[in-house]
Amino acid sequence: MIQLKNLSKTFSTRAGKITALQKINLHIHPGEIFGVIGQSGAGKSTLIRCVNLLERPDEGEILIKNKNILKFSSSELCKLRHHMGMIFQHFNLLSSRNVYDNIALPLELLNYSSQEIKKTIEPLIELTGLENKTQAFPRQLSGGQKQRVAVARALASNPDIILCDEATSALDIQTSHAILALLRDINKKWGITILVITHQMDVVKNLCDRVALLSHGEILECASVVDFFTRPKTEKAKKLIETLLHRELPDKLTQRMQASSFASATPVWRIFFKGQSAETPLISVLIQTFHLEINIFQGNIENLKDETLGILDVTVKGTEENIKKGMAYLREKGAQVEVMGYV
Amino acid sequence: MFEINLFIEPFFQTLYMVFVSGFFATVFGLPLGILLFITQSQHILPKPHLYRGLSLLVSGLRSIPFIILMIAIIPFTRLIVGTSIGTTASIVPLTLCAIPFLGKVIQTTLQEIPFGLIEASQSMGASTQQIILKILIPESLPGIIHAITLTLINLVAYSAMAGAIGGGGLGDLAIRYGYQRFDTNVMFFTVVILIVLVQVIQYLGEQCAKRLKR
Ligand SMILES: Nc1ncnc2c1ncn2[C@@H]1O[C@H](COP(=O)(O)OP(=O)(O)OP(=O)(O)O)[C@@H](O)[C@H]1O
Ligand SMILES: [Mg+2]
Repeated sequence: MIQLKNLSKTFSTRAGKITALQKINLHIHPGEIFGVIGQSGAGKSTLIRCVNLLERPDEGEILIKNKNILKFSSSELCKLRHHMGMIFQHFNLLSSRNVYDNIALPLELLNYSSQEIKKTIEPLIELTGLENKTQAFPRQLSGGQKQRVAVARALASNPDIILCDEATSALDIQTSHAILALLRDINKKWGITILVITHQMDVVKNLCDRVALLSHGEILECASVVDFFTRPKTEKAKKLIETLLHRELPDKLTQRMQASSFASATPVWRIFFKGQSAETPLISVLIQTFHLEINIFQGNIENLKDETLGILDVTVKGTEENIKKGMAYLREKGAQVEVMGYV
Repeated sequence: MFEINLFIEPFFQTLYMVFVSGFFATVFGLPLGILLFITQSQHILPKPHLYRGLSLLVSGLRSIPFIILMIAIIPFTRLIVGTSIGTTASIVPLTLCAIPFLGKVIQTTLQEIPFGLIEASQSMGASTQQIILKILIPESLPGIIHAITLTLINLVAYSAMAGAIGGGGLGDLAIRYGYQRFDTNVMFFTVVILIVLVQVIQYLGEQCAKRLKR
């Protein structure tokens, strides 16, 4: 659906050159919700703005439905944009138009008649729960309501791609969850491909199928959300995930922990349970069958979009052989074990 | 004391000068302001040369004192209205003076529209023309009304100078009676009428803008 090939973008400012994107390669499939996460200044907004050419890259190709949009004429570009919705952090609603007319804007640009507009946007007003707000003006709405209007507006021209730049960053947790649920709905109902840009791990967890980590203009990692959380390939991704998910080991433990094993060492494990493996009583088997002494010091359950992920940090006491067997058993049952260190 | 009739004709002459030149100033000044706004670099229709040319022209015209402008463009005035003296003739310099003023104020007004709005409409595939008609003008309408009001008030002041080329109007009356014949009553009353006129224009403009503000 969307392919980015060797995309690079440098801004020249008075202070010097800023490389916002460096050789980005991404392939986003039809119907998926793809997330790009990264810290502030990583180049996320620049990346998403390249996809509809609000920003022109210096190098590389952007293929949408296998067409290189960098070669489009301005009228072809307008046509392309008609079929791509975009949602912004600060909503960007027209203050001079009421809710109904804001949602109608993309269709007015396409010269739809007012009957056609009515027919098209009424279901969207219902979908976004704005039935009794159609005559309100943006300044009379809460942030969450404004973002609903923006979602409805993005959907009005029947797009097959929606771009979200920090769509929930200006909202509180509850409201942002409601917006995320709305986006999930839309994706499921109509199979619209959604590209979301965010610095909130929560958005990735709740919404995305796949995710890419962007740091200083480079993609460090690109994986399914479950893999991203359970087996990040780079140190940087690991660090980021740990801080964002509050998964750092307690200081008391890390101070004593050694990186490599020593005589009579007790390993510290991080165990990930996915799907069904969470349902078998793995820990009690470890204790009963392998005679291990398991000390759980922290645990967490992450509800990802399609899967539940359990995370357990434990210390394991026992004979070296039993520890090995216990680890093999866990892995055989589909859990993932990571040795964090030894105490 | 004095004839009330004395004021009737000059009063309507002033109204005529102010509103006709205000009308033409809007016809040319609004597009000028929009053009100044969109041709800036990094904007929706970047044309650096055009922008620089227009800016230079605007600031150039604005720095010429009105009384000098009025005399300097006499040939041009004659070309357009066929004569260089009289009320109608004074409309040409008044308009020419008001266009760059209004253009500049409208450019400043448009600058207040959050750029995100313009980007959002671009992301919907709006053409430049659609952005102007559906976003820029509606979003800044209260500001545009305010700019036109300001221009009209300025025109009231400048129209007083139009007496110098036989333009007539209240300003001319005040100068003739007050300055040349020392008739302070006429002068005083003229000033009162001018103040009331400015207040009325201001009030109507504000009401209009307020009604449009969301
Ligand atoms: N128009 C511009 N001119 C100059 N530099 C820019 C411009 N736009 C972005 N940059 C720079 O490019 C880099 C990436 O910016 P970008 O807005 O893409 O970051 P981001 O990941 O979206 O950050 P945030 O999470 O804060 O929105 C930053 O260093 C920024 O200063
Ligand atoms: Mg950003």
